[in-house]
Amino acid sequence: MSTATMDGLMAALDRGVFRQNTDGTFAALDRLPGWCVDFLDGDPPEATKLEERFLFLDTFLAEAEEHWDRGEASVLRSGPWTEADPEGVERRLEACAVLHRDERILILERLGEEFDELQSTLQKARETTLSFGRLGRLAGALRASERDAREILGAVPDTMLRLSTTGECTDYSGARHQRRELKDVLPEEAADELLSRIEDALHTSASQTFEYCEEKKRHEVRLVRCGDDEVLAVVRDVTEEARAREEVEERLSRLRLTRDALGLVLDELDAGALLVDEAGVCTWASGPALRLLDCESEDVTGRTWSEIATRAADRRALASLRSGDERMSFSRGRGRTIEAELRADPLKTGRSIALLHDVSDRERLRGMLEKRTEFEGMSGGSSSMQELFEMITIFADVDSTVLIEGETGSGKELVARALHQRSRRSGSPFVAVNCAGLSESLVTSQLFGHRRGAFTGAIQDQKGVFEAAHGGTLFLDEIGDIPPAVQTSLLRVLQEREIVRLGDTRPRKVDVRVVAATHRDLAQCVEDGTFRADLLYRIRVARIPIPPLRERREDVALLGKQFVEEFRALTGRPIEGFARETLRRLTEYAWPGNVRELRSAVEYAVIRCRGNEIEPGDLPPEIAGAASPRAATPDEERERYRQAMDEADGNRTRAAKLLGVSRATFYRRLEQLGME
Amino acid sequence: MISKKICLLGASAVGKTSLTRRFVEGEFSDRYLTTIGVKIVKKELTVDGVEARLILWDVSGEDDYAELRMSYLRGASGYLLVVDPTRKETMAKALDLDGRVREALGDVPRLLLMNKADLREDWRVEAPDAISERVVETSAKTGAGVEEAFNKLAQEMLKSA
Repeated sequence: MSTATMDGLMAALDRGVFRQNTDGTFAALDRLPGWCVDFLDGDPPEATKLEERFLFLDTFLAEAEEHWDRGEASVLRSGPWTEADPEGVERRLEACAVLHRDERILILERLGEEFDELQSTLQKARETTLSFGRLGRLAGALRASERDAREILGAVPDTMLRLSTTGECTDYSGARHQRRELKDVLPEEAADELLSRIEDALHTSASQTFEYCEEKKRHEVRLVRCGDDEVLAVVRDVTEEARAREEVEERLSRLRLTRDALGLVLDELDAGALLVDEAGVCTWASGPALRLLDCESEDVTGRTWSEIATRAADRRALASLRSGDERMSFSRGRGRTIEAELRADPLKTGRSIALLHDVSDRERLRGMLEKRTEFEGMSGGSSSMQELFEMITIFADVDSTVLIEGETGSGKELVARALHQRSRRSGSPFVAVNCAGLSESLVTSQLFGHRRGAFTGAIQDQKGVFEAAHGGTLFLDEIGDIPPAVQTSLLRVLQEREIVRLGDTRPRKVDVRVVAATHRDLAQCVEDGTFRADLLYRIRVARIPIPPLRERREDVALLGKQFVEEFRALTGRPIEGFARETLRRLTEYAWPGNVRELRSAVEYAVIRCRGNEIEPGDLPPEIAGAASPRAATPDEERERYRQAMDEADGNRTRAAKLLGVSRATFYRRLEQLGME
Repeated sequence: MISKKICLLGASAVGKTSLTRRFVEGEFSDRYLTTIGVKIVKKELTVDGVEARLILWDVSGEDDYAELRMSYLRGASGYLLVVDPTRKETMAKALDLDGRVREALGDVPRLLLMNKADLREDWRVEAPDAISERVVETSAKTGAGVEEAFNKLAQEMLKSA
């Protein structure tokens, strides 16, 4: 045989044949198949350590050595093994060790179909064995179940009959399987009834039931289909059960009567009532409750009762309400306020009755009362102050120029600020300017600004108050004191909504709402020729008169109390309020300096007071000595101003404070009283 | 790197191949494919700071159709006996194998794996109390206890080396 023929034969056999060298390595006898070369991973085929290339051979070669050493001519087969080559390709292999002419030959063979056949056969055999094992276990479990079923049947007191369409009857009661005649088990009438129902039972999946009586005992017979032509009849003694059922029915009937009566009572109450179970779920709602909540029964029953509130915070508060807790109010929308309280249901432990009261009117009144005493930092419960608050609310919504008229100390700036705060401009600046404090020479510059070099000292461009208040509100206090020349410019600004800085020619647009205030009678000023009529009409688009304190004496106590609290906090003195006589004198006093004077008087009294209550003697002398509500005469006022100046050691600011008037008023009064 | 040979032994269909596949490849298949002869795979790991290569011999289960070829055990440093506790007879087979293997290999490290822990409610046999410290509950399906079992055996083998 030629070498080429031999090579072809070996290639067709797909085997690697090796001979062991004297140093223990192996030499390939012929050309090796590709899979075998892959395992050698570059080792020279004439001297390779096969046990390092095939993990399996590390073990098998030890066995092969012993075989070769014994000199036996037989072939030692390794049996099949699976192993991956260096590339990770899994190979099914088998090795044979054989001694041929004293040469130790090792043949490595790749297994193919014969391996698959062997595996398939063995797999089937093992799966069959496993299935048999499972079947055996199932059979055992079935036998155990049957035993259990018999024991259970034995323990059941019911009679169980298996009936065929032909009337054959087997009695399974007491775990016996006994053929019996039906008439021996049941009374004749019941047996007939049962037989007449067999056909029906066979044709429906639902069970058939009827009852019969025998010797004061009541029995129930239930038929269920059992296979295609048999039924199972279970006969039970239901005497006790029927008695109990009747008793329950009777009790339920009594309870229904009680519940109806309770419902009638609750329906007659003014309050709405909900029955709430242990889980907080509403199980019933009275008619008044449904009317109060303006909903149908199904909107409330079956739901958590706290869901009657529309706001989440109210729901949480209601859910945490416990029997005996204080009542809590919540809003139900459309201005309706409901007060809820929980009471333990005397008829059932754990259940509660939620009583609901309509308190909308009460809350509305309370709201109105609360609103009337406080408004943007101003206080007053009098009707004149209510009108003032209402006017502010109305005028805040529009952008018209407003003229606030009021005596000194009556709170003109507070009204202006309130107009600003309540208006759409509240996010923009509020700039207040006292026109009486502006010098004539600088008033134009201060109102409209100036350019650098417009006058001596104008070292840089400067915005005026109109520009500073852009987008917001400009409050011009004491507008009656503004010089005539400036009135013209002001009028132009109000008409054109633009200003021209002093020394400039370029007009600048300004978006400013002007609120003016004065203690003067501007109409009189127009007549006197000191105030331009057209400016008056321009600023007096809307008028807000502030009532003097002497015209709203009912507010004196309220304001006095607030001032006491304010100064008590500031001074730390433990003063609780006014003595009755003090309050009388405060109420009767004329208050020419209005609220500002009252505030100063209270501050003075708090400082002087040594007890817990402010006594008349603690008040400033002109108030303590006031015998009547008349206003002070000019001489008396001169004397008060003189005393104040003495007490303030000539400091006019302190003296004005002691008198409860502003510095501007102080100066004006000094002038009017001829005391300059 | 230290190489150690471990044999997985037990009755057929107890999950030896599945345990090996879960440990080496982190995978599981519900399909049962019987092993013919032996299947050899390796896995490298670090045990207590020592790098080791485990040569795993997944030996065909012993039953009426195949008998354990004792020559496969030659050179093993430890072995795992696998039991399917839902089949009572697999425990008896494991204990029988244990006796024969110990005779051949001597007192090498070994563990009894109570496999199919995911079917705990169907178990029909428990491991003997006497060898409780050598028992690990595993599930090739969920992977529970598998790493723990191989690591524990590897630790013991390296300790006794």
